[in-house]
Parts: sequence; structure tokens; C-alpha cells
Amino acid sequence: MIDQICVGASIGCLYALVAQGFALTFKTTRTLNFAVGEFMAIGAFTCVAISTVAWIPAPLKLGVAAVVVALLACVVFRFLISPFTAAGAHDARWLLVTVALSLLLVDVLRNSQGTTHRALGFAKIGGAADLGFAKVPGQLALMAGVSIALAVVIAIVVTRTPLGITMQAVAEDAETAELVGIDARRVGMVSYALGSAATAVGATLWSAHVGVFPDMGPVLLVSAFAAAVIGGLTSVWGAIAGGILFGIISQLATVWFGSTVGGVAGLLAVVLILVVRPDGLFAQRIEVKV
Amino acid sequence: MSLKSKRMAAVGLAAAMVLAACGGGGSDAKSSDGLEPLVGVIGPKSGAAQFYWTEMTRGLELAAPDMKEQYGVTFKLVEADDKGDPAVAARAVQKLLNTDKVDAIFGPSQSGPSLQVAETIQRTGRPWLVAIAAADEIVDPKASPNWGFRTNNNNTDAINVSGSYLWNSSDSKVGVVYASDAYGQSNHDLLAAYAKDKGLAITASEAIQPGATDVSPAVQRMKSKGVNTVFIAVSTGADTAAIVKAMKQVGLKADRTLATATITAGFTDLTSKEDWESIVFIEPRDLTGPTFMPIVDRYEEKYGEKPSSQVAVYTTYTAAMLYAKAVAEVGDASKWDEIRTAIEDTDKIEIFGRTFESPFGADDHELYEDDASSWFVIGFDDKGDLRTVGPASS
Repeated sequence: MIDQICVGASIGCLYALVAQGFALTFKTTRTLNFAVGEFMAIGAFTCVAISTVAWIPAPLKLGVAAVVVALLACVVFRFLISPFTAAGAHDARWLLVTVALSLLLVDVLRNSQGTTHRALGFAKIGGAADLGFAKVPGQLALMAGVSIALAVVIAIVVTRTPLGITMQAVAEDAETAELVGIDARRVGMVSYALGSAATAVGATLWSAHVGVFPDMGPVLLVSAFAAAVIGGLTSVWGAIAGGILFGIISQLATVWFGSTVGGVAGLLAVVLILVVRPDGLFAQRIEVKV
Repeated sequence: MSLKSKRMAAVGLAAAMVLAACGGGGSDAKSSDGLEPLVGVIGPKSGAAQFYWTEMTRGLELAAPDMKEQYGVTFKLVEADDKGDPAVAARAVQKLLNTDKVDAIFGPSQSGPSLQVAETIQRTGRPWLVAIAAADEIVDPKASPNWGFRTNNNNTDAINVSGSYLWNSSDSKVGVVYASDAYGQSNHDLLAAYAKDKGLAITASEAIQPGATDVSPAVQRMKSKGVNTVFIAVSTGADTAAIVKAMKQVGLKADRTLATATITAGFTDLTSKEDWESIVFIEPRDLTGPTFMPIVDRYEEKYGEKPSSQVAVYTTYTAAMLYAKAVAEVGDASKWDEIRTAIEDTDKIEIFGRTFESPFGADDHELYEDDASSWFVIGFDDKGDLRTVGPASS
């Protein structure tokens, strides 16, 4: 049972990283990138393309994927998301744009790369990682370790550094932040770049386990979005907790009740949490005087 | 011109028009031209299963020179994209039949779209080559006349042979891991029906979500029930890889682990040597033998890569050769019913050295039978390439 909890937590670390990407962009721009799944696939396919270049070490290959996806995220935010938020908080055209972009990218990937699962070509680890109290497949352990490390670094950057303070300023009141010289759009681009790049790294390591394929995004997206909701859509630490919690709940439910129940147990937990705490478990409640 | 001449010309013109209207038979002028049938090819030209389209069209391309040389037949293709969607397939096949007035239909390549169009094609009456799709119901043996001819094996035949392989001894405790999609569910249900029919029992059945990162809970439950023989019914090699890894993770060592032919798509890329040395699948074609390899070699030579689904290429090639033979015998591709009868009455056809004697009959429109002695157990060698282990009856 301890093994299964650890496996669930390992998968949850990946959900946490993707969920944190959602939290980061929602916190600073009040938008979500629904094409992030295809961004992950683009990152993974980038790695496949350079996997045969022997002189590039594996971490650098992941870095290349991160840079490619970060640049893509910047461009998408600048030209496809930011212009469609201009009409204020009720302007939801960005949602349609990102969903359309998701459909477009997945078709481009299918038609250009084919639909079969491909090997990543590196970062493949066999055997099990012995944690002393439990064993986890080595591939999942690597993915979990890198994902949680990235998630913690991002959370520290967002909550403890000048860049993070700037992000929080934009998150709380973008107009006022601009009055004191903060470029809210640039902060949004940085959020998108950071969140998407980290997500691409985690997903690429995951693809070493399950293969690289154009439709890899949606497999993660629902779970990651649920994790973000559990943690609170504006809390970068909450996303980490939400991801791990979602992973463990899903895994244990599958162990006890089979995949039919396990597949929806995490989502049922989301509904329950939304009923009890509509802002998620870790979101900061802000009282507004009216 | 005199009045009499004008009248004669008018009568002649009218007669010509009537003759032209009556003489078209089943197809118009742009349709077939004797040994150049207008063939409708329908499949997922776009969408998630696009590789089936690639393999189907390449199978036809590889067959083209052989059809020309052996039978003097050349296809004129009309392509239709069903996007892997039954509703789209229904519209596309209507266009092929009624607007393009094709002489024969190849595809759809997937079972869902094929089931959707089956009734329309049977009702309209056009030779229909079901080269890839495997769902039993697509080719209805009770249909009369039956226009559908399948050159792949159907699911029931595959499961019957798989069942005899899985329950090879009285100690067999068979566990089934299947994907919770139509493919997995169908295979599970067919195996359950086989077991019931033979008075056997499935020890454990576990569904998994396609694309799941970890399936160890399902495998753990099978292990706890004492399963010693595993049947894996999932639609991708990646899902098979996840199951095999989970078996290693929880320590489930099966005497026999049997997958389906979907394992060939990506399984060895995602696993290591020790993962694939004990897993096999069952095929009615000897995938590494001299009666199959020539098409793989020709494919690699022509396209510079390995086929994603070599079986789809082979079965499409076979369908093309069968149809071309019938067209050559009848001599006119627009005589659809005669073509249908000619395929049904084919005495034998040889495909890369393998001879199919009387492949079809009035109530048998399936090329393959479920005789285990004519099927093969296929596994992987040290390099991850396919190897023929032996006949499925062993």
C-alpha cells in the first residue's frame, strides 16, 4: 500500500507542476492557456528531434525544449491572449482563442509527426527506485523528483523574489501596478513563459515513460486542472499540494475500487472541495469591503 | 438540308440520346473504363488514426504494378476522408456511391466507420473490400447478396485462436487487462463469450484507462487472484508497455502473456529487452516468413521507412489483388454484380507465395478462418524485431 501511495504521489508531482503553470498564469493575468497540452507535446517532439545529437547532454536537451516552449508561450500570450482580454474582466475571448489554438496545434502535430507513440530517445530509466520504505519505478521517480524541484523553485521565485513581488502586485491590481511603472503585459509574458517551460520539462520526462504523441496533452490536462482547483487557482504552493493529493486519491481509489472508480475519484474530490471551500484548499481569501 | 433530312437527323439524334441514356449501366462516362475501375478509398486521411490511411493507400500503390502485370487492371482512385468518424464516413460513402459512382469501395479502415456504412453499401450494391477493419458485424454472412469481402481476420476468429492458446493447460488461470475503450471492451467480451462457450472461466478482468501513466493497481489485483496467464487487450503498444512494466513492478510472472497485434505500434520503443522476451501475439499471417516479408521489403524500399502497420499494408494489397483478378475475369468493372460473384467464386489466389484456396463462398466472405494450426505465434527477438515463435496450435 505504501508503494501505491508513493506511486500516486509521484504522478501527482507532475500534475502539481502543470497545475502550477495554470495557477501562475491565472494569478497574474486571469487567463488560462488551454493549449498548454499541445505546448507539452511540442516540447517533447523538440526533444525527439534532437535526441540523436550525442554531444548535447540530456539536461540540456530538456533545456532546449523549455526554451522553445517558453518562446512559444510568450508569442501566444502577446499576440493571441493579451489582445483578447482588453475589454476587462468579462472579456473571455482568450478562452476561445486558446481552445482553438489547442485544436489547431494538435492537428498540425498529428499531420506532421504521425499519431503513433515515439520513444523520447533519452532519460529512460529502468528498474525501481528504493526509497527505503517503498519502491517506485525509476522513471516515475525521476519525473517526480524533477517536477517537484521545479515546482518548489517556481513557488519560491513567485513568493520570495523581487520578480515574484512584481507578479503579486500585478495579480492584486494590474492597473495600479502599471501606475507605478510595472509593465503588466510583460509580467504576464514572463508568467506564461515560466509556467509553460516548467510544464514542458515535466511532461517531456513523463513522455520517456509513456511515449511521445500528439495527443499527450489532454491525458494530463484534466488531472492538472483538477489539481489546480483543489489547491486554489491562485496559489502556487496550493497547486503542489493539490497535485499530490489528486495523484494519491486517484491511485488509492484505483487500488481499492478499480479503474472505473479510480478514474473519477479525484474529480469527485474536486466537487467535494468546491462545495466545502469554493476557492480551493489553499487559496488566500480576500475580503472585499463594499 | 431538306425537311426529310432534318426529320431523319432529329430522329437519329433522339435515338442516340435514348441509347446514351440506356447504355450507361451502373456507371456514367467518367466511371470505369473496362479494366480501369473507379475505386473509392475511404479512411482517416486526417485525425488520430491517420496512419491507417497512409498504410491503406500505400498498400494500393504497392499492388498497382502487380495488378497491371498479372491482370492488366489499373485503379482510378477517388479518395474520401472519414476523419475516423462514423458520421463523416456515412456522408463520404454516400458521395462515393451516388455522386462519384465508384465501381468498388476500399475501407473504411476502422470498425466504427465501417459499421456505420455497411448497410448503405449493402443496400446500394457495390463490391466492398473490407481490408483492415475487424469487427465481426461489418461483414454480415446473412446478407444476400453479400457485397462485403474481408481480407483481414475478424475479431472473433482472433479471439477463438487466442482462447485456445491461453487455456492451453488445465492449470491456466487467465487474467484479462483491457482498455476501457471500444477495442478493449470488445476483445474482453468476446473472450468472456469464448470462455463461457467452452465451460472455462476468466480468473480476473481488469479495465484500464487508455494512456494511463501507471496501471500497477490493476495488475496487483490480478496477481492477488493467482493469475498465471495474462491476456492484454489494448489499442496501443504504449498501453501494452505500461502493463508489462506494471507486471514487473508488482512481480507478476505469467507463464504466458498474450497481447494483440496492436503491440507492434511502439511497444519495443518504450520497453527494454527483458520486457519483451516473454510476450507474444497471435496472427493469421507469418509476419517474418517468406510469404509476408516481401511486402515489407518493398515498402521499405519504396518509402524509405518501416510500415506503421505492416498487416494493414498486406491486407489492403491482398484486397486489391482479389478485386483486380475479378475485374479481369469479368472484363468490365461496371458490371458490379458479376464482379461480386467473381470474387465469391475465386478458386484460388496467390499472395507472395501463399495460396488461398477457395477463399470465399456464398455464405463465407472472410479470407481467414479460426483454425489455430494456420495461425502463428509472433514474438520479439533480442533487437526488438519480430520473430515467429511457431504455430498457434503448439
